[in-house]
This record gives sequence, C-alpha cells and structure tokens, in this order.
Amino acid sequence: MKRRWVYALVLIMAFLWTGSTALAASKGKVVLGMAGSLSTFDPHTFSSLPISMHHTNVFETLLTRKPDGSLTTLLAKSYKMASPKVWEFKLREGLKFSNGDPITAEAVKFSFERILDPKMKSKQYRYFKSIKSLEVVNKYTVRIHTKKPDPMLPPFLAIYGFIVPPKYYKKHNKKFLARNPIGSGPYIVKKWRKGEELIYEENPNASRKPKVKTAVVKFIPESTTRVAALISGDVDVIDNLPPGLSGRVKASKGARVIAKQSPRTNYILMVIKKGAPWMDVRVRRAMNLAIDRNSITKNVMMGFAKPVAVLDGPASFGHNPNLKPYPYNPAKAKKLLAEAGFSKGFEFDVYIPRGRFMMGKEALEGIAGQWARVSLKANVRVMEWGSMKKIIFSKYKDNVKPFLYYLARMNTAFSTEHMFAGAISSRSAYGGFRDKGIDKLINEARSTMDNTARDKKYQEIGRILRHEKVPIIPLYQTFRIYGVSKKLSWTPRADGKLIASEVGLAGAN
Amino acid sequence: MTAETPDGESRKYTDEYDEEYRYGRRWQKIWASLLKDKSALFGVVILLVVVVVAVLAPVLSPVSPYEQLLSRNLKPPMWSDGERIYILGTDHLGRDFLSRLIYGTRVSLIVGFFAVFITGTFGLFVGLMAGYFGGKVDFFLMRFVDLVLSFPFILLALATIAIVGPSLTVIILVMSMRIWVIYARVVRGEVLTLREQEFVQAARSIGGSHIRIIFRHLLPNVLAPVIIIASLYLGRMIIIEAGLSFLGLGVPPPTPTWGGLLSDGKVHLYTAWWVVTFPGLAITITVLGANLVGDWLRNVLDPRLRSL
Repeated sequence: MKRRWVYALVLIMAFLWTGSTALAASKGKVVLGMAGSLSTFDPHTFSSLPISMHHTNVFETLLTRKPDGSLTTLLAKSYKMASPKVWEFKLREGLKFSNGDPITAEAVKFSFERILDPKMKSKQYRYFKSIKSLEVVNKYTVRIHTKKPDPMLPPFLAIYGFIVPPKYYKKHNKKFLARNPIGSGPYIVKKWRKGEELIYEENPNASRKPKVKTAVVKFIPESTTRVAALISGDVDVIDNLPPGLSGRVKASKGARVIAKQSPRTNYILMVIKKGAPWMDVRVRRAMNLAIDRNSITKNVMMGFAKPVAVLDGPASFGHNPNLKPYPYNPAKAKKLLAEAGFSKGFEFDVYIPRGRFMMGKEALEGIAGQWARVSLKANVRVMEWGSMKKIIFSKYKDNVKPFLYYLARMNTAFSTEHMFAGAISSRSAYGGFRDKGIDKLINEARSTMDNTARDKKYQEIGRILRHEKVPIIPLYQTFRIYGVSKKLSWTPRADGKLIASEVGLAGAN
Repeated sequence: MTAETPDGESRKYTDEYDEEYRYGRRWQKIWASLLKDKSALFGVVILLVVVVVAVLAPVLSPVSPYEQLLSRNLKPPMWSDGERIYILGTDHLGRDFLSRLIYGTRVSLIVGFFAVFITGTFGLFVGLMAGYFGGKVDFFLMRFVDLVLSFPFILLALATIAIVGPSLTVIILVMSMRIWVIYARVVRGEVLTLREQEFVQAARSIGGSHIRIIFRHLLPNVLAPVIIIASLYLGRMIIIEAGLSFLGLGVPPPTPTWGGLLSDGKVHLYTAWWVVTFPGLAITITVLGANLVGDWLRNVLDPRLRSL
C-alpha cells in the first residue's frame, strides 16, 4: 500500500518537472542562476557589479558598451565635446519609460542631479564628481558642464547614470523606489524576493526588445549548488563558475562552459619604502622574472587567465600592444638579486584577502613556491578583507615592515587611467608606489583632450612602468566563466556582465 | 598506632598502605580491561600509529611536502613521473599528497594535545579554586564560566582569528578559550563533595595549608574525570582545528593541515577525488581512535560520567 503512494508521488513529481520545463520553453523563458545578489533597485544609490548587471535590464544609460567592449550610444543619439568643459548629448526622440512618461533632456538632468545630491550619499558620486551642472538646451538636447576638462566622462556614462522619469521619482520616497523601479530598459521587474528570486517581464514600452519574454533570476551564492542546478536543468545559465568545477559542466550532457577574458587584472603590489629590499629596481625586476606566469595560468588557473604586461588587457583604452608580460627567467632573477646584494635572498610577508579573487590563494601559493627557487621566502598570509585593508592603509607608517599584497581591480571603464589611478598613482589608497614623475605623466595624459594623443601618452606610461620603473608585479587577467545550457544562444560580454535581457534561446533568434 | 571507630572496634591506621594498594590494583584493572575491550585496544593502536607518524614525519614522507611543480598538479594516486611513484597523487600545486598528509598529522596532533593540555590545566585549576574556597570566589568564577558558556564559540573563534590573524598559537588559544569551562564545572562539582569528606577535614584539622590540601588531597581525587574529559575532547579538538582550517582560518599556508588539505581540495572535488578523500579519512580515523579510547577510559575510571 505504502509503495503505491511512493510510486504515485514519483509520477506526480516527474510530471510536474517535465511539465514545467516544457511550458517554460514554449513561452520564451530563461532561468539564470547568479552568484551575486543585489540590495536595491534604486539606480542611483549604490555601485557594484550585481547592481550594474541587473539595473541594466530595467534602466538605460546615455551610452553603453557593446558585448565586444566598444563604446556606443543608447538613449543618446549622438554626443560630442562642445567645448573642453562641456559634453553635449542629443537624445533619441519619442522614447518612453515603462509608465508611459517621455524620455526628455529634463529627465537626464533630474537623474544626474539625483546622483550628485549630497543627501543621497550615492556611491556612484565618485564616477561623476567632475560634473558641475547640467543644462537643458531643448527637449532632446542636454549639456553636461564639468569642473575641469574631463575626457574620461563617457566611459562612466556607459556604466552608471541611469535615466529615470522625474515625476515618479519625485513623488515617492526612497524606500518605495528601492523596490519599485521605473525605467526604459527591455524588462520591468515583475516580482522580486531579495536574495532569492527575481522575475523580469518584457517592458511593453521599451524601444529595445529582450531576447525572451520572461527571465527568472535565482540567486544561488554557493557554487556547487549553482552547478548542480545547471546540470539538473533547473537553471539555464550560471555565472561565477569556479575553474575546479568547469570539468563537471563540460562532462554534463546539457551544458557547456563559456569563458571570456574580463578586464579584471590581478597583481601583487609592493610597499616601496625605506628598508624594503625592493627599493632597488633590480630586486623588483628579479621578483617579476622569477614568476612563471604561463605555468600559473595554465596549471593553477586551469587556463582561465591570461598574463598581462602592465595593468590592462587589449580591450582597454591606452593599452600598449607592444609590451609583453615578464618572461620566466629564474637565472637572470638570481643574477639581479646577487647584483643588488641579496644573493642569499630575503624573507617577507605577502597578504591576500580570503575568498575575494578567483583562485587567488592557490596562485599566490604557487608564486611563493617559484620565488623560493631564487631564495625569496614569501610568507603567504590569508586575511579577512577588512583587516587587510587596515594593513594596507597603514603601509607607510614607520613601524610597519614593508610587505607585498595581492589585489585585483575590475576595469569596467576599459581605461588604463582607471588602473593607474588605483594602483600606480601616489594618491591611490591601495597603491604602494610613489613617483612624482609618473604622477605628472598620468595627470598630463588625463587632461589631454585629443583621444589619439591621450592614447599615446598612456601607452608611453605603460612602457616606462614595464621597462624602467617596475612598480608592481603584474600577473594576469582572469576570465569570467559561465555554465550555459546548450539550448541557449548567448555571447559573453567583454565587461564580464551577464545581462538577462541578452540571453536568448537557440534557434529562436 | 590505632584508632577507634565509632562502634569501638579498633583497626590499624594503614592509610598509606591502603592508598598504594588501591592504586596498584586500579592500574592493573585498567590494563586488564584494555586487553579485554577490543574496540579500546583498536583506539589505542590508532592513536599510537598517528603519534608515530607525526613524530617520524620527516623519515616517512617520500619528499618535502613543500616541493611544488605546477606541471604535475592534480595527478591521481599511484601516478608515476618516471622517477618515482606518487602513492596518493599530487595536489593542485603538484606537491606530493602523501607527504602533505603525513606532515598534516603533526599539526592536528599538536593542536589537539596542546589545546587539551591547556584547557585541562586551566579548567582544573579554576574548578579546584571555585570548589574548595566556595563563597565569593566560587560565585565569580562560576559566573565567568557561565558567561563563556553562553558565548557562541564559532563566532568567537572567527572574530578573534579575523582580528589577530591565524597562526598555530592563536588557533590553540582560541580553541582553549571555550573548552576549559567543561573541566572547571566538573572539577568544581567533584571538589564540592570531596571537601566535606573526612580525609579533607582531617588534613585541615591537623593544620594542613590550603595549598597542601588542594594539591595533595583534592587533586589526585579529581584527576580521573579530567583524564576522561581530556581523552574525549582530543578528538573534538582535532575536528575543530580541521573545521577552522577548512574555513580558511587555520594554520596559514603552505603548512599542510588536514582541514587545510580538505579546504584546498574542495574545489577539485569533481575532478580529483583523492584531495578530499584522504584527509577526510585521516580525520575520521584519528577522531574515531580518540573517541574509542575516551569511551573506554570513562567506563573504567568513572562510570558516573557517562553523560559526557
């Protein structure tokens, strides 16, 4: 009797399961299993990768990036630098928000003023702090006035600066707006249970159509669970697939692995100050030459990383294609160390935050092993990010012993300047290198308005860093790895974002 | 010398003789029961083997546990590079897994034994003081014990290690922070009954100092429960250490620890089964050994403590 019940239950379960997947396919639905969750749908308060990935479905920016990483227009029809301190944008005409309100220059002005409003305490402020004011020229033309000439503004307009309907956003309070967004993106938020599930439905008023009518996002922070959900068919695509689990996806029947080099550069920084053996540039060069980057990327990162010469990859503005990563040459490293008076090597600490960078600890352990071959004894210290930040910020204090630290920086702006600002400039909170000459070159390049000339200047700085100053130990750019069901058609983006409205079903165009 | 009993009977004052006799018999009994109890014998053998492996790690390991070669990473057990066979394969950095497992024994045992020793000594001391002096001393010590007991241990451990940074010493101390209270409570309870007994009264009446009474008369009588708790907690300590290492809060790399090996291996679980299987087995077997010995010691020394 009991057994009969079990059979019935199994049958019902099987029916429900096949029933639901069959239904899903016919209606045009994809399910995404994503690692990172988002905290708000207010497009002007916070900044993070999950936020920019999800808000892009619901809101639109003036500019955007194509999947290949190139900058293009979105709400703007065209834009130009009207004068060194003025950017002018002409908007596409006749576009509407999902509530029917028209998209006008007034909405653009309102949206940016909302970000810049000190009361908002927006985390996006730092991207737009060069903006002085916005000016509505006519219904579809808006001008952004900057405090100083800012050639770097357009890349940030492709990440944040989502445009919202003023009437709606003036009427409601922040708490309400965090849960009830209105934008002009391909999707509207139909249902959202924070940290669990998010359902997108096609926005009838949108100018751009999503690839499928409904997209369901399931937030699954645990990577093995995410992989299991993909393989069982519960979700169609997952992000943040750890390299160690890629084999499992590859071996499965229904899914494949898609990986794409992302602008996330991993590097080891040095606190360059008195008392550090690496005050001597020969030591810094030796530390670079003692690392076999190809072996690390191939064996530890399982091929999901590519060595870089300085700080950026080929997709970045200002990248110097003539620079090659440091070759592996332990013999030369030993020689340089001996010349600098360290034939017996030295011992030092190298810090890495726990669980923050893909395979970071494993790679650093591998590097420490390679350093050991040239008598450099590196003590790998795995730290909580909070404690590590404190150590980094105290780096120049007299009683702090010089140390090394492993970090990575995501370059969603695809600009070398962003990387220099974060790791090379003396003013960087995270960098460990101070050189007035380099600071001057960076400042000069940044205020050069001509794109070609600026590109050249950044390339030249790259050359000086790679061949003369050696201020850091560049490692590699990691790939973003996805597990994708074979029934999907989807092109991975150069900026590493998994945007639901871009995921389509194979054969359905 | 003779003494009068209440019913007027006289007997020889043979305290010393009695004591010797009693203890001699006791150890004989313990030994006999060990030989009889197969599972206890098994536990003792496991622990002995583990200790020997830890002590002789440099002799037993085929190569240095730190010698890496990235191009031979994640090779399966019995893989040969032409020169020699890697009996348990290699890890993600191409290090010999058997050597790492053998060296990992050291950390587990050091942490286990030291933590047990520190907690045992400290807990014993606190328990003796609280039980013997009673009153205010007892009140304050025991409220402190309650305070420690009410603190979520894992949270305490995570926070402390996150702030101070992981190292062998820190981990032993963090683990000890919580466990000593178990000893303190049991010892205090024992002392409370012991201090009212005649031999303590007698020692006090002939002018024995507090120190003499505590260490000469009370201490030997509460050692049995302490030994029992220690043996039971040895296994638990090894598990806690493995757990902390698994969370990345253990002894820092590249020192191999069983929990650390598990933690490193978990991302390769689907492609390289050996990197999690062997450290998992090592932890299980060692803890099993410690628990078997603990159970048996409890049965022999003090069956009243079955609830532990």
